[in-house]
Amino acid sequence: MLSTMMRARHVMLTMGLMVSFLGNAGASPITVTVQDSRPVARAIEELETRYGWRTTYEDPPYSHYSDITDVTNTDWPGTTVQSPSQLQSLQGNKRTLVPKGGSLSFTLPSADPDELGAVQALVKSYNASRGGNIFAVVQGVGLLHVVPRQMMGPSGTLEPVEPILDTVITIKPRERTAYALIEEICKKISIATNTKVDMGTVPTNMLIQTKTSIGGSGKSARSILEQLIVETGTRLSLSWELFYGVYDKEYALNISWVAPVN
Amino acid sequence: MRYSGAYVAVLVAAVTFSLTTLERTARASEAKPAAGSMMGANTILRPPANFSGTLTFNINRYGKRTLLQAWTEYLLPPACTQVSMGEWKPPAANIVTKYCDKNTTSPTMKCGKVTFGTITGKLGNGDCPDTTFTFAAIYYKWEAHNNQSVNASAPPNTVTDTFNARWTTPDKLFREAFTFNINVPVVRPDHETTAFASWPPAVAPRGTWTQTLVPPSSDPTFDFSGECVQEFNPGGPTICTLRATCPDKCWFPATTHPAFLKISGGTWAVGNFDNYTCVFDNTKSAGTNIWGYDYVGRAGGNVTYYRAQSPTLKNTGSCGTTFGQRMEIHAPSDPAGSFTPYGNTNTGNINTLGASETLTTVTSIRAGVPMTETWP
Repeated sequence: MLSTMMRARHVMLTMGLMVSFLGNAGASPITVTVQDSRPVARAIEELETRYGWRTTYEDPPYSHYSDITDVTNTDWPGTTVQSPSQLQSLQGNKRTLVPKGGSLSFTLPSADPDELGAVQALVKSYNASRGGNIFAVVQGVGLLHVVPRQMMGPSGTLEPVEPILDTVITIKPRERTAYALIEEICKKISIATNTKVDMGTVPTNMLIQTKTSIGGSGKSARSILEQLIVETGTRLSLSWELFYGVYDKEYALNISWVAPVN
Repeated sequence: MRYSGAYVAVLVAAVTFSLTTLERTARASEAKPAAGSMMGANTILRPPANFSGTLTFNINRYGKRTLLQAWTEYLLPPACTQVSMGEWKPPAANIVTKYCDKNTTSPTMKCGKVTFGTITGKLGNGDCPDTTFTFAAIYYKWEAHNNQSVNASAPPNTVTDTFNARWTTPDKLFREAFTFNINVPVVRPDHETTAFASWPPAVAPRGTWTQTLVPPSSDPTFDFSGECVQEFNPGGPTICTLRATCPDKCWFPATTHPAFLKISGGTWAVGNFDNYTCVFDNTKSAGTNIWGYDYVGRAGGNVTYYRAQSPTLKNTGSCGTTFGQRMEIHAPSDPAGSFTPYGNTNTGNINTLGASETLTTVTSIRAGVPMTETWP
């Protein structure tokens, strides 16, 4: 353990979240460990911070009690839900319920990995820990996307998931702000799926200040969002995370600015 | 760079000419005509007959005109008589100086004004020390109360005017050509004031704010319109992991809405509303030194979510977040990407921004000033 700690290149430890990079400097593989309510999203954020990559993330829905924890009175990891009836009771009492998450450990192919290889290693490791194919890596036009493929259903078995950002929508091309475009995308998904998708935490001024004429007919919401991200390029260096709310069963589309890595 | 000594011109840089070629006016050629500049007027010693040079002056803005050069034609000692004071060309009104105008497509405002005159004095080269001559003088006065002149080669924190003029004599023996670079100090805002503007429905429930840049008291009519201001993150946490230490008190662990902890890095053209390109647009006039809008607040879905989910809001009836914003300004005369902070606490450097909500109201905070409305 001591030698392991001595080999740590970067360690961040808090009560609710842990991230560590373990490995020798140079060409040897690096092991990344995170502990979080959304460990895959957290691992992607770590790779963004470390390498400046922009990889998007979409939550699967969380519906099985074993995937849920109560953080009403505590920080994460909170109080784990023990049964379907307890989950029903907690929901009735308007408790603050969030994904239970856990630990994720994966090894980067090298100290200087390529983005696809690193994200695939991350997803592969998570899927193995869950005994399924919860997430998949999709290569877009200019970004990598980590999308949900399976979720733990109410019965406790893995069920297929149709990623909500695969929803086919039509956005009339016209000049608008990037803010208005994202709002329109959220609205169109919500109407098409009857599941509310809201704009979450976004860089407001940056999006209001960016004009775009992007649109499209019969395209996936993801591809239109990706078009915006690619169009704004490195000037804005944006990425997104789509998080699912356990309590309200709604999605929040969070847009973030990825800082360049020197 | 500090400029001191009112209206005193300081010859600082390049005086590029050759004293060795075309030295037609050697001291040995007595009783022959020579050209000489006045003592104390940025004297150039014994230039060739067809001198061509660049003179750079760092001067103060406004006030009295600055004497740049004064020349005369005289007979070398022992004659020491004036032949002609010559003349400056082209006429002062026709000299092409730079524009200092935020309207770059149809500019009308010049940076300064060139004038000619006569002045008496001694020769600066030491000839005829007992003789007073009349010199043809060229003057410059900076007039524009702005930083609009663009010059990629200007020294840092200066604004530059440039023009050409030549001094010639009627006997055509002398033709001295000058390029004058006139540097004045760039002026920065002393601070900014902020005022609430509105709650625009398109981005509800965010508040919009307008700001006014306040010039230094020494130059109260200064116009920063056409310059660019940008917000910068002065630091602070970028991620929350524990409630107790998270500045966003609405946030809770594993929320679907990450904590609202920082500004997004917006830019605005001063003098315009809703122009985020840093290029002044005459159709979006906001008034002198006014810029906006700065949108401050959470998205509507964010507020709704926290009203339903935030333990803090449930327990205390309200929750909110604050973070810093450092404003910096870029003048057209500045190098690309160069910004300079202005103001003090809540007048630019550093402003407190934030947002808070109760079950029925939302509050937008800029420069420490809260504005609350009932929403929705």
